[in-house]
Amino acid sequence: MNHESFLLDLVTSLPEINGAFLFTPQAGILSQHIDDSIRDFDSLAIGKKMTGIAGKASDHFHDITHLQATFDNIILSGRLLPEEKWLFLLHTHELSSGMIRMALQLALNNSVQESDNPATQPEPPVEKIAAIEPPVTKEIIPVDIESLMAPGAPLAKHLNAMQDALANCIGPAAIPVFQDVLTAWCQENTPALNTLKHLIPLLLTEIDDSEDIKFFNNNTKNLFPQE
Amino acid sequence: MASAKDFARLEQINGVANYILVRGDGQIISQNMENAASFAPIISTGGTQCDTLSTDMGGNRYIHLCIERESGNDLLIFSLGRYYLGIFKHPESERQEIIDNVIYFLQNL
Repeated sequence: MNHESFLLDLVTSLPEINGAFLFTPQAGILSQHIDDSIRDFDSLAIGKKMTGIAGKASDHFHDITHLQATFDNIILSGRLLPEEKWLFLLHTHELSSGMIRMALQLALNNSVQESDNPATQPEPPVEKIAAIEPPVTKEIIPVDIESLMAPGAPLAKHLNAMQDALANCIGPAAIPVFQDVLTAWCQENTPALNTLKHLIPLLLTEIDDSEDIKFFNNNTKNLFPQE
Repeated sequence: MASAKDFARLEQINGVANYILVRGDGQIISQNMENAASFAPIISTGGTQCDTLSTDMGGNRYIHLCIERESGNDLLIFSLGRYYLGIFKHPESERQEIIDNVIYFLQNL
């Protein structure tokens, strides 16, 4: 991961984000982008204190997804990324958790795509290897499925049609199965019309019956632009 | 400062599973859960650390911290001066609604 471009992607993706920094308890600040509007900001002290709280909380809870500290004029949220890096975001009260998750997902996907493209790889070899680790070793990034499938969302029509087609093949289990597969797809793809075709093989692995597979293919083939 | 008894009314807020009110030194003032003593340190530590973050955040005043969990049983820690209020939310309840209701409750004590 190129820390600089990852943070820049994130900070410029939404005007409500005023700053971001990457921190590890061992190395301190890896990179940061903080707006000029934020004054007297001590990112190192913040990183240490927030990860200290997370460490203490993990004595009780093993399923912490993120920390969010709300102040009168700003919100500080922290998430643990792969490779034990903490991402801290500063944003306004108007920004929803769902929007943050989407922006983060896109920035992570972009950073992975950059790592996969040799022309844009400034990273040393050791980090390239880390970027193409098998998915099973990666931290699962939460995906806002509700927003992706909400009426009016760019992919809602396609995703709902796929979920319906899956339900016709495997029954009521289709909803949780579809959500799991969608989450897996989002770990490797930027959610967009041109990457949607990569979702189909993942869904097909969930259908056992060959007739149902044909049925599913027939019901989804018209969803994609002709290539 | 309201009495500890007043805080028992927190139970009536929709979505509040449990609450613990602790002093900055970790002493429990009011609670409605069996294992409150084990959670008191994280509530006092989390609260005091976040209070000190105000200095690192350019003087912004700390209001509350949310430790979000996959299970949905999030822990919210509100600052009340020398005291900290920990709220465990029900998994199915809406976090922002609870925060708004707790803040309203605290403002009206």
